[in-house]
Amino acid sequence: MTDPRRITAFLLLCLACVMPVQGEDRITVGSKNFNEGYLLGEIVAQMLELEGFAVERKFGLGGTLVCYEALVNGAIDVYVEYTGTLAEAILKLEGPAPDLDGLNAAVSDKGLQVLDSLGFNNTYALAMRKDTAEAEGISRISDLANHPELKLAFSLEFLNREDGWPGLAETYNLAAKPAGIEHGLAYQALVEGSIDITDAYSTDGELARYSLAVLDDDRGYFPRYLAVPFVRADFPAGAGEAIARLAGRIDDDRMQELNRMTTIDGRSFAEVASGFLRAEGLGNTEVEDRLVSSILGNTITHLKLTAIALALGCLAGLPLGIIVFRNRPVANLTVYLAGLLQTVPSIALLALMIPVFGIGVKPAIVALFLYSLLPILRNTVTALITIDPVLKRVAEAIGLTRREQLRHVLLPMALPNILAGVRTAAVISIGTATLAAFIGAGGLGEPIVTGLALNDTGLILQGALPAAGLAILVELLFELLERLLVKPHMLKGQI
Amino acid sequence: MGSDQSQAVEFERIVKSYNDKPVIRGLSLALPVNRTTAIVGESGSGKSTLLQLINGLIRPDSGSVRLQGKPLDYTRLPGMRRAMGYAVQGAGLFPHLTVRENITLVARLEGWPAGKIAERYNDLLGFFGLEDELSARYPHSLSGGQAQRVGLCRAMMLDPPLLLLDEPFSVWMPSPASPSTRKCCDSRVPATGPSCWSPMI
Repeated sequence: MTDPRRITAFLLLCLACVMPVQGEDRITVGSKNFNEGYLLGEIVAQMLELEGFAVERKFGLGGTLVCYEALVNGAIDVYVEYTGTLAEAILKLEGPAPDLDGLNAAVSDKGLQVLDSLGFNNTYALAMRKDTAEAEGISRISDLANHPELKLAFSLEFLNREDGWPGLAETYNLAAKPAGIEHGLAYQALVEGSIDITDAYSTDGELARYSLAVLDDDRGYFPRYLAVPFVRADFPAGAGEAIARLAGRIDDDRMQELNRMTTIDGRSFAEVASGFLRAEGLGNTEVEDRLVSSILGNTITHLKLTAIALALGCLAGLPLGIIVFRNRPVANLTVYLAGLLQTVPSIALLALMIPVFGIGVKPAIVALFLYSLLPILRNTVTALITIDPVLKRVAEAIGLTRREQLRHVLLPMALPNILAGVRTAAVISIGTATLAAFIGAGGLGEPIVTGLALNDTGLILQGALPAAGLAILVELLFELLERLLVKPHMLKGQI
Repeated sequence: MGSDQSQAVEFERIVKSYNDKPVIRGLSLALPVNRTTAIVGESGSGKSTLLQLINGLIRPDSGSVRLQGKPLDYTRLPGMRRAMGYAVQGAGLFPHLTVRENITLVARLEGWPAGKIAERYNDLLGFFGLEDELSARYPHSLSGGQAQRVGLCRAMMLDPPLLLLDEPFSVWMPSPASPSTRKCCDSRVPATGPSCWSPMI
């Protein structure tokens, strides 16, 4: 058996390697995990690079609260938020969203700052075909009251949200009975004429693609969701000025167009962002194709995440199992607690890590570690407990000390099962680590998360295939390890 | 019963119950040195319990155990047990160790020099009529009788003054009174200790 001290030293070395190195003047740009979020993040990032800043991208963070916590903790320095979301979801303000000064007053005590709006308002909107709208003479939402024959179909969220259909119907005295429809199918249904009106986000690329008309919200019902750069107050002044140059340059139509280029034309964010900055005369950025290097980089990050989490899982799970297995109630309780950890949904566990560890590699490793604990601990305990009691008695009776019993009898006999536990943990970790991209840890989840946001199968495969390959590789590796460490006759009945 | 060096093992008013069911009720018994003692009884009568009281695997509810006149020291069990060979029914060989590793494990832990280990090992193999070819084999490939004898070799490796045998002849030798059993129990110097086996009743 290998010297445990040497293994520990090796594991600690691994750990030291991935601890993030703090760059001095790096600006970390975050983004939400949907198309427009990525695009705006890339525009902001390239703008900063044009001004000579070194930029780190942590895109595709899993939702508003993840972005916000990351900003508060300083894990990112800037991301683009929407005023309505800021007021409702983050600040929990009632009533209409305050203006920029009001928002700034509310976030200044958290060390944050809202910069001037990029220009567009990404809010709910009602969309219909341009030809129908013109034929029926409809341009405003209030016109709908005169057209009860139109077929309305809305996404379920819009149907049920207080600031969705119920309030809209009341404000505009609409009596129609809308149906529910999956948002992704709504545009198709609209184009085919099976429905006449649906809800949309006012900057959806599909509006530009299908030449749809957005009805004027003439009674000002929908809250305003102005896109604003949300930054830390300690943001370098030069960087703030650079971003300020973007203010007011993107209106609703422009954003629709930019979104269309990525979602429908399938162009990369970097390319579209670069084209935008050039067209605006803000500067020329170079876009390199980094497919191979990014797959390799993601795979390495992914391996680091899982390897360290697994190593920590072994460092904690094995000794813990060895300590508790002699006491049945304590062993049961420990395995039960580890099992409880396993039942926390991965995304929730990752999100729970953010207030404590921020975003990035650290919380991801902690979460993966917690997941790997159960298989390792349970297999260790079970393997040790289920050893033939006669052999345990003999080991004691021939005069082995507790340590010698473990070293020469119990652990070697439990080894096949323990290895199987570590193997399970490894495969689980590789799968779960793809979710770590939601909290900015990178890895093979990054292209998957981005690909999901963009409905881009190619991008999803760039993450999914290497991840699957990695899982198979790990299986083979453990099989090899098993052959090296365990005598064949000790593997009876094991798969 | 006073302290007596001529008694290998003394039990004094031993009481032992399992789940409130008494198995041994106030037993006092002395087992002399240089003697083979057989304990006979029905299944569940407490033979194995009695044996395990001697090597401290089981502690009495009340009463005391003395070895060569001294009370059993439960704080130094491993060292004390190395002075007692222990063999069980079914041999209880460690499946991950070869025959040789099984037999010599404790001697190696004791730090015996390789030459001494080899000498004792070969003596024991010869004594029990085991082929040297078996040395590198694992227990799962042994016959029942071979495994039993390997178990006895392991028990006798350190040439312990006391040999505790918990029915280790059930496969190898049908009759506990057979010459081979005697041979095993009488072979050591000093040939002390209770051997414990029970015929089918």
